[in-house]
Amino acid sequence: MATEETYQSLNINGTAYVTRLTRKYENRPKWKKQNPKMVTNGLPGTVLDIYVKTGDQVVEGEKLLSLEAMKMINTILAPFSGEVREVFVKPGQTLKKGTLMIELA
Amino acid sequence: MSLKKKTLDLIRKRAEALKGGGRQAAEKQAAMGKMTARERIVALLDNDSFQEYDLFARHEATEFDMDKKVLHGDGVITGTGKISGKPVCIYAQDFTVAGGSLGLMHARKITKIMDHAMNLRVPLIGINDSGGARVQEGVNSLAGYGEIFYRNAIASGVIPQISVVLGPCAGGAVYSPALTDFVFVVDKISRMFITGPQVIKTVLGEEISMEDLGGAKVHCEITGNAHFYAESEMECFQQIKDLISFIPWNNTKEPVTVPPKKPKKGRKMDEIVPSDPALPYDVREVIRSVVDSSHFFEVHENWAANIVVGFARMNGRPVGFVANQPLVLAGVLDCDSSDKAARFIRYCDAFNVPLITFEDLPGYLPGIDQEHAGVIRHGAKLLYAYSEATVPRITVVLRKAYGGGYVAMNSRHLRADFVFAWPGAEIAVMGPEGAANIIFRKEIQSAKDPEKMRQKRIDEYREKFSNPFVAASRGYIDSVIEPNETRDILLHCLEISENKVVSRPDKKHGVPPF
Repeated sequence: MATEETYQSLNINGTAYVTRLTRKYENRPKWKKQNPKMVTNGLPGTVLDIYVKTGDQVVEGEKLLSLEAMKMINTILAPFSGEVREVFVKPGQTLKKGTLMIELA
Repeated sequence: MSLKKKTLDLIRKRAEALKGGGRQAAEKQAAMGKMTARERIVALLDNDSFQEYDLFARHEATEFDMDKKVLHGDGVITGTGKISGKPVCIYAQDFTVAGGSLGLMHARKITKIMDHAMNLRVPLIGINDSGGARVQEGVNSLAGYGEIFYRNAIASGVIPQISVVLGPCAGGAVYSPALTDFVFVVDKISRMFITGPQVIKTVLGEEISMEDLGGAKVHCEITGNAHFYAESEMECFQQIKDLISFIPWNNTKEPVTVPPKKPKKGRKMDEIVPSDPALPYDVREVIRSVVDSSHFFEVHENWAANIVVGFARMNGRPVGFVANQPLVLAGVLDCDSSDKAARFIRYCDAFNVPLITFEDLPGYLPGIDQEHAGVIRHGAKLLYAYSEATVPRITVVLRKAYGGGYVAMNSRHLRADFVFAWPGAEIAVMGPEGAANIIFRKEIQSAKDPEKMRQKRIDEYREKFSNPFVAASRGYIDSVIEPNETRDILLHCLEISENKVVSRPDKKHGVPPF
């Protein structure tokens, strides 16, 4: 039997249960609300071209940059009309999934 | 040439073919800490029971100078043999021959032995140790995989299918084990993944070792792709022999019965299970205290440990146990534990193994990750599997049975044959704390001393509703039993359920929430 120290508390519907937690439970992904102003990449890949610079006004659907991911060229479009606040990436840069590429305002 | 000379010639040819990839390759295999394919078969089967087929099979590939290459047995050993005196069909990929790569003839040998297993209605054991598709054979390799997968799917639920991963098993090859009933892996030897570390590094820029990506521990603890974990190949073979002792040879047979044995003397039930429903205990101790020789053979021990599943014997007859485990995550149902239990129930039902459910759970695991991972559809698998199962099904509520969890854990409403509860059982929509907070919310808030009022209402609720007698008064529980009567009552119910027959409406098949 395990010692007391290995137990933790898990609250289910108002009751605090004394139990062990699993590695998978403790490493579960934390949820973050998506912010549409922060343009991130859904797929890992390499930046090919950037079509905008800081201060540009863009309209919804305008090309922001192109990204090669999973052997395909993906064009990232502006999700809404606004101003480019900052570009965080450069052409040729390899990006992990979820990297902040462009901030809009 | 005389027959005698021809026989000598055969012996010479056979000796040549039995060398497989040759001594150097065998030494390399040993250096990796691995047995050769032939050694594995010999170690797993009864002494001198192996009969090999297709030793002289030759591939027909011609591209890329393949016509100049002799690959003994085409990289796989196939045959029939016995385990504990019972027949099995077996194949083992031979890594010493072209890395155990799968070409058309290699696949044909496997599908031939699979067809035998189906025709003979005996278990199929596949030992995987292969670099993957034989690239030189192109689409013929892919065709080979497809032929294997199809047979795995069609044989499912007819004959037991066991996969042993003792080396690499990557890319499409992983789907054969995934389609079979039980997957065995060995630490530092087994490796399973769809895309390997190299591709992941190139595409994602993420570095991970083979072991961390798809090693034995990962598949036994994180993914659930493997059911049994061993430290060595010999330990793994012993696990296979143990498992085989619990399962029938095909879906028309009953599991083998052995002479009954009493459980070993251990702690009393009321010493094992704390009366406070928030305190943990190991439900496996309860299982061991009711089964023959206290021998419980656990399946999926390290994955989704908040539910326990496995085989044991009651009066010599194999049964399957499903039990919430308060020791881990308070025994909640979640995506993984629902999948794990549903799959095991499905196995037992397909192969005529009665099911005993021990219930003690606070409900479903709350969390955004759970909801977004689809706990609704995963949880539904458990309801589906229990509802469809026609083997004898008995439930004992040991302590808590709250909310949807009460319904899901083989309740009367899902057509359990018998449902019992220990006297300390709390069968209710939720725990007293949660229920009092909802029902008496206003009263608690407006009380002079809200904490005192809350406790008062919690105690009242527990007294009135958190007991087995409300459910028993409706007939949802057949009887409230003394904990120490559990084994005798289970034995009685199993005995009288032996000829259980229930009918189901005609249909091609249902549409389970896969």
